[in-house]
Amino acid sequence: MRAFQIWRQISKSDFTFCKSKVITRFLSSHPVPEAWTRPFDPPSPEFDWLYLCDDKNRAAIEENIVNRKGVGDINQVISLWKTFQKEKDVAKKESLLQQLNEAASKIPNRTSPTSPIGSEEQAECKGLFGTKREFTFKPQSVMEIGKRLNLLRTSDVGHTTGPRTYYFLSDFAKLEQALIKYTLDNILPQGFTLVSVPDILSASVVEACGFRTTGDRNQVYKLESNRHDNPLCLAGTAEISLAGLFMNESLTTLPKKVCAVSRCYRAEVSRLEEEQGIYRVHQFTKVEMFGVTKNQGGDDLLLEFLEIEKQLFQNLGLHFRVLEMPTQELGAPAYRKFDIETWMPAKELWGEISSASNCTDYQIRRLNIKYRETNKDDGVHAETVNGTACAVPRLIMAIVENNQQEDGSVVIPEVLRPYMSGQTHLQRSPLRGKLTFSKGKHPR
Amino acid sequence: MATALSYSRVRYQKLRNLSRFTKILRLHSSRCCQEIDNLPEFGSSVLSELSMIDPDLDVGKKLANPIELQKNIEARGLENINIQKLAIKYGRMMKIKQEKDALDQERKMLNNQIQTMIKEKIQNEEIENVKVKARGLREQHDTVVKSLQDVHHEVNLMAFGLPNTLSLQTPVDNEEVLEVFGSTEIKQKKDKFSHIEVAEKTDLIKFSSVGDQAFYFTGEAAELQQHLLSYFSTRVVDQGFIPMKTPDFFKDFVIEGCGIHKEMTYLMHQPYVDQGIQYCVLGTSEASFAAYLTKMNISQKSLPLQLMSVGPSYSPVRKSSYPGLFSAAQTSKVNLLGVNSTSEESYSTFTELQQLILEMYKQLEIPLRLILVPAHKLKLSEEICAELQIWTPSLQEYLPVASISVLGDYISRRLAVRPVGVPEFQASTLHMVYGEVLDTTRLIAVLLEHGSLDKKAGTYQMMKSDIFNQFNNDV
Repeated sequence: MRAFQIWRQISKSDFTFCKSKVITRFLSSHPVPEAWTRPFDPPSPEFDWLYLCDDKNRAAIEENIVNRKGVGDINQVISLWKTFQKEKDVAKKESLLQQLNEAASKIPNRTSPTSPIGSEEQAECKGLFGTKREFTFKPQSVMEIGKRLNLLRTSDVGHTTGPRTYYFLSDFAKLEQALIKYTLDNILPQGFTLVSVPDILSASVVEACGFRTTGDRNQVYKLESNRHDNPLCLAGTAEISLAGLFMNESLTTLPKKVCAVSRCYRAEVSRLEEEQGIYRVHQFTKVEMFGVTKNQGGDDLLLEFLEIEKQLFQNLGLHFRVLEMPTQELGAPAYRKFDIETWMPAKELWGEISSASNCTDYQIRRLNIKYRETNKDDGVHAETVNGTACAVPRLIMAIVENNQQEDGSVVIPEVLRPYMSGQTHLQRSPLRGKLTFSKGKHPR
Repeated sequence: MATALSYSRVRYQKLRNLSRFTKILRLHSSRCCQEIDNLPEFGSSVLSELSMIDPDLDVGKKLANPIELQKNIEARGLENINIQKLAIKYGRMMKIKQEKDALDQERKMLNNQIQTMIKEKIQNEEIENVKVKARGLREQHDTVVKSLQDVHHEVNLMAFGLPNTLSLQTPVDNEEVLEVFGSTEIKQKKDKFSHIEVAEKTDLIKFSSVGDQAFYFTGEAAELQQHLLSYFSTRVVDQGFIPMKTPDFFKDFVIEGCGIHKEMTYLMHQPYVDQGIQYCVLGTSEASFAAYLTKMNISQKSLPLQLMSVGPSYSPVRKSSYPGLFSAAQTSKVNLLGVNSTSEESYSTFTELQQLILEMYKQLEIPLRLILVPAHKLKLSEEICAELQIWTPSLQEYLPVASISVLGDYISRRLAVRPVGVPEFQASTLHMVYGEVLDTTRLIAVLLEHGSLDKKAGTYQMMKSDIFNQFNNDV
């Protein structure tokens, strides 16, 4: 009788009669996510061969490459293309296609006619916002204020977590959360969908978004890959993860506007004195906006993102400027880019707090993101746009330095006070007593 | 046929995951104090010169009661720990130490003798004879010191994998249920479904192959994640915990100092800086606090020290065989740490924190229970652990979502977190309590399963509760 009952339970995939939970779980037909059962298969890029391999465009593409720091060889692409067209042998054709794709992947995106040509100095100021505060005293840096109020630790931290690491304590940590909530509360009502993203990505996805993962000057952290099927990297920005969200998708309604709060990891270093402290760090939190729009719609969406950023920073009371970035600052994927820089009074410099780019179809073609209008069979390539809504450490730096008072207190911007329980000023950390770092090998 | 093939494929995946899981378990236990002539690797990073730490493993005290130590090891199910070999090695070390002390004494006497002879203007030849003897002793001393250092290092390596003491309250065989809350009717719900099915029918979750077991929460699910992080962190801060934002990767000795094997973390591809040191990507964890406190001298006035950290947490090795998001590689966590001057204070904090997390989770209005984890499921660093578990419809069992543990002085001894002040305080050790208050990925997956899914219509409704209304009002 008991055996019959057990047989009936098994037939219904009910294994709860097992005394061992592990075996019950093993036998139960819990579906495994299908995406996790297959290895990552990067999509084949669909380059615009008609444009790239047309001799009429060769000069313009070459000039574009020169203007953008000279990475990429269009002559090699055209030569390979011609050889590929003539080749009859299937195996050789396959090998040529691989070489062709590799060469074509190095060609940077086209450049907007509005982008200035040249180096960083050629950036054009498109507007100045807010008022530069005139100090009647020498303003302290965020490092000095943070140390004095015991809200920031950057000294003696490299021993356990490496260089350019930091700890936010108490009100600085609360300020980070306040900035995130403030940003989300302002951008979600503007049609953005919040997405939580993976931070550990396959190297292929990172490369498809235009970020190099190999070579001396790449900024991407890689993880030991002998345990994993594909080389893995830490995402330097949620832009990559959000682009990966739409990989191989065939979208029917556009634009898609998404945003994410994520931890960003960048291996970039700087020996510049003004970039020490929390200005250029290896790990930080950022709220990123990302959009997919129709062909030729990228610039409109870029300007929309830019307006959102301007509003966010104006409400924070910052004094900032909008720069249209020149060709050498665009990177490989961007067609057009705006940076926002805010005035940092302690160092007396303009510090970048946001960047927004129209990447047109650069990422789209590498990630196979298509837009399919109703009643049409073939999808067309869409365009992607991304923008920084909130990069926490630099915003904290700007807010703290600009809002410090002569008596040493720091005023919290009004728009952030509801997110900090109504606090009007930053308070010293409630950490009592002394914590002191013991240098040298600690004797027992 | 298609169903049979699909079933087989799922079984194959489970077998593959289970074999990986078993391999990791064996790796985890076999690396502690192996019964071999080769020394274990676990702890080598803490004991290396690069860490600049001289950990105090209190080996003598542990070996003073070998029966208790053996019971502890057996209760925890740890294999390949040979206390006898460790004791022999320790005995040898003590003998060499005695030899060194005797040599120190003799050298001191000889030095005093030489000083006296010089003062009394005794003949140079006699003084020289004594000096020759002193030089011989010095060479002997140097050899003994070197031997002592070597064997001390071996003892530390062998002892590093010993577990923390086991609290008398920790159950040995099975978990001990402390409290149960919530309606059992929910357990009888007929239309059970998993969060994986919710992902198939809605766009709240997207599973992806872009990374290591990658997934996305979108829309309502992503907003729920932010609300949960805010809700739990605010309540912890209201209890007096100081919020922190901490780095996400740590040098290997910090990881090992917390009793975690490096292989349980993502390892950074070398080299970037610091040759010879491996960076481990773990995110928000006990290592977050340990890294902050390593080699810190803490005054009594600073205690009790209460810290909270919020951020992403990464785990490449799934410690359990739970399906889908229940064993995700990435989540966001709210963790806390309490540092106290005595063990009694730690246990008092342990009790208070159990009630705190219980009250927080009761607001979700779903069946849950609080249990004491049995010894064989404890981490090396834990003396006792209380887990909060939520009833999970798809698994038909309670799933751990939060925990509070007493770590005692395990981390503080290994990472030189020292008291400083009056002699009595300075001679003591610092005791810690650690809590993982929220694991968003796991909790959201459970909460989704408590909603309503109409598989035919493909519609889904999140569960209703007062706390969700509160989240919506906060928007």
